[in-house]
Amino acid sequence: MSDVAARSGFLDELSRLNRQQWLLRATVPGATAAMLLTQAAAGPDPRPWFVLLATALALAVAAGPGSSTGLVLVLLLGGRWLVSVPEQLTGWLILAAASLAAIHVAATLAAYGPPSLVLDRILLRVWGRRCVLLAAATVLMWTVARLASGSDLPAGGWLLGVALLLVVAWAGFLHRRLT
Amino acid sequence: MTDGWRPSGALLRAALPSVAFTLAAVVAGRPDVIVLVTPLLVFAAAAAVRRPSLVPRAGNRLLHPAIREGEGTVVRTVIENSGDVEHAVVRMTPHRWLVWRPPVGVAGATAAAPVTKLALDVPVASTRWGRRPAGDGLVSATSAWAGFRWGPEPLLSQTLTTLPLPGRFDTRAPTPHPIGLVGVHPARRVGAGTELAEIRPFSVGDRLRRVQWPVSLRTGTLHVTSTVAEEDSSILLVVDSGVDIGVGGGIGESASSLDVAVRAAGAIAEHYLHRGDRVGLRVLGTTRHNFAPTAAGRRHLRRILDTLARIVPGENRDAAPSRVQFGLPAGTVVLVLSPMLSEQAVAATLTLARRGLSVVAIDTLPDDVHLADDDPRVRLAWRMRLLERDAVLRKARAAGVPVVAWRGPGTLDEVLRKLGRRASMPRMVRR
Repeated sequence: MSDVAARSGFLDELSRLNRQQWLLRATVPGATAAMLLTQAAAGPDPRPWFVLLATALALAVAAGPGSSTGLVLVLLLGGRWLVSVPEQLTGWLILAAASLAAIHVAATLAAYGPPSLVLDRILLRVWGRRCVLLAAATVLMWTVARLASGSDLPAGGWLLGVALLLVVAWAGFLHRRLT
Repeated sequence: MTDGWRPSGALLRAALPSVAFTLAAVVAGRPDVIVLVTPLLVFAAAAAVRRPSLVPRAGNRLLHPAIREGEGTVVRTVIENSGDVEHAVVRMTPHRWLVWRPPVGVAGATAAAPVTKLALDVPVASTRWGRRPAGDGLVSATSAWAGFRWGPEPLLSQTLTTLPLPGRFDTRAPTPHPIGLVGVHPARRVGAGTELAEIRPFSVGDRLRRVQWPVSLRTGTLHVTSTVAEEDSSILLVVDSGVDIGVGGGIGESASSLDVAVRAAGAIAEHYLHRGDRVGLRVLGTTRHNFAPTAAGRRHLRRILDTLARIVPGENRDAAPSRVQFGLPAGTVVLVLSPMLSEQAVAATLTLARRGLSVVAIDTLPDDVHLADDDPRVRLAWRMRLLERDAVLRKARAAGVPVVAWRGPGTLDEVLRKLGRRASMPRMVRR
């Protein structure tokens, strides 16, 4: 009985979606599709089961943007890039990063409140600036990576150690902030 | 972690993959993966750096705790200590007869710059009289970069009193027994007033400006004009809340019998109080707040409307009418507003009439009572109930209680004139 009530309540919530929320939630499966196409262009085609799984997860995120399904989707898409797509610093990488960011930002905005919430212009303007910042940081990192790969830096244990130290420091910082 | 704030799903979605993929990228020597998760890295860093430290407190209030039917007010939710709040959302619990704007009762506000107090206004309108909770719901807040979330915290409900919107009413008929000192109703005695009573010979004490010169010259003796004194009257409104027939759809929609009674009582009270008369109220069938003493003045109108707004239909049907103390001064006109379907109202009406008071029953049964059930037995039962009601109305008329249907302006004109004429005739009263 409670399951039925919860399900009907969920459907009621979805029926109250406004145009803005539709747009934000539709961005999640749209960006997921863009990410899959980018991966297919940059490397081998994804398996049908993977496409189905990613699509299902994307739809689940669109239905419940505040759920932890979004984390699974991001891990899945990023993991496949790591495992299946060969190392490259082409334009496809920028597109893939943009798609991943779009999934994340759209889900974040859609989860600001109940489905019937209309986000005001001030907030949308703030997030517009933030998206520009994210894009600029990504392009900057891509440029640095390309320059670094072009300069043919010597590989060494100390470089890996510094990088690992930075990652650990980053993880420690996040752990301290989040707990 | 500061109490109340917790990491949002967005922050976890950015932080965990950014750490995992960066580590994997370093170990596997894949700079492209770092580029891929750079947006998530920046997002997580920005959100984590802006971790909130102030714990917000939320409270709400109604800008106008009492409004008229169809009018609106604002539920203002104020979040204090909101220095770390970038965006706040409030969601109001829906209640019958309350209309929110937007209709779902959800509103958000963004603090463009850090503020100590963030206010969220949600307009609400009430479409039916009564007292009902409003403003209860949930409020939540989000920090910068949607990194941390506070709430949702419950909001306490406030009581919104919706005063009945009085229907249109007007009467030109004087009340039968004006008994006060000053007013607009012509009394039975001669005194200072404007309405001509008679022209009579001058007597000691008459004012010179009252001398009627044409008659005095014609008759050769001084004559003066005398006028009828003008006094105020006392009205008691008896509202029957024991039964509520029909569907009350709010202002502008279908009205139940109690809707008609309450709005009619408000209209009658407003009319007579504006004319300087004294009006009292007694609610039959309501346990508490069922009485407003007979008094005059505009503030008293608010008191009567407030008592009407507190009516709970069918709350108490067991009170014996013979035990109800009306405490009426002589000459009070009693107006009973009832669909005449409850024993209590009928008995009270007949009891008051037997005490020798001028009683008028105002029938508030709506013309279009739609039975929700198509069952022929229900329809038959309703017809039988109406036949019983007709018998009761005949009984009331036989007891000298005129029964009129509420139709707004002019409803009471004819019966009050008849009562006025009857009041001047000798009669026998059973006590």
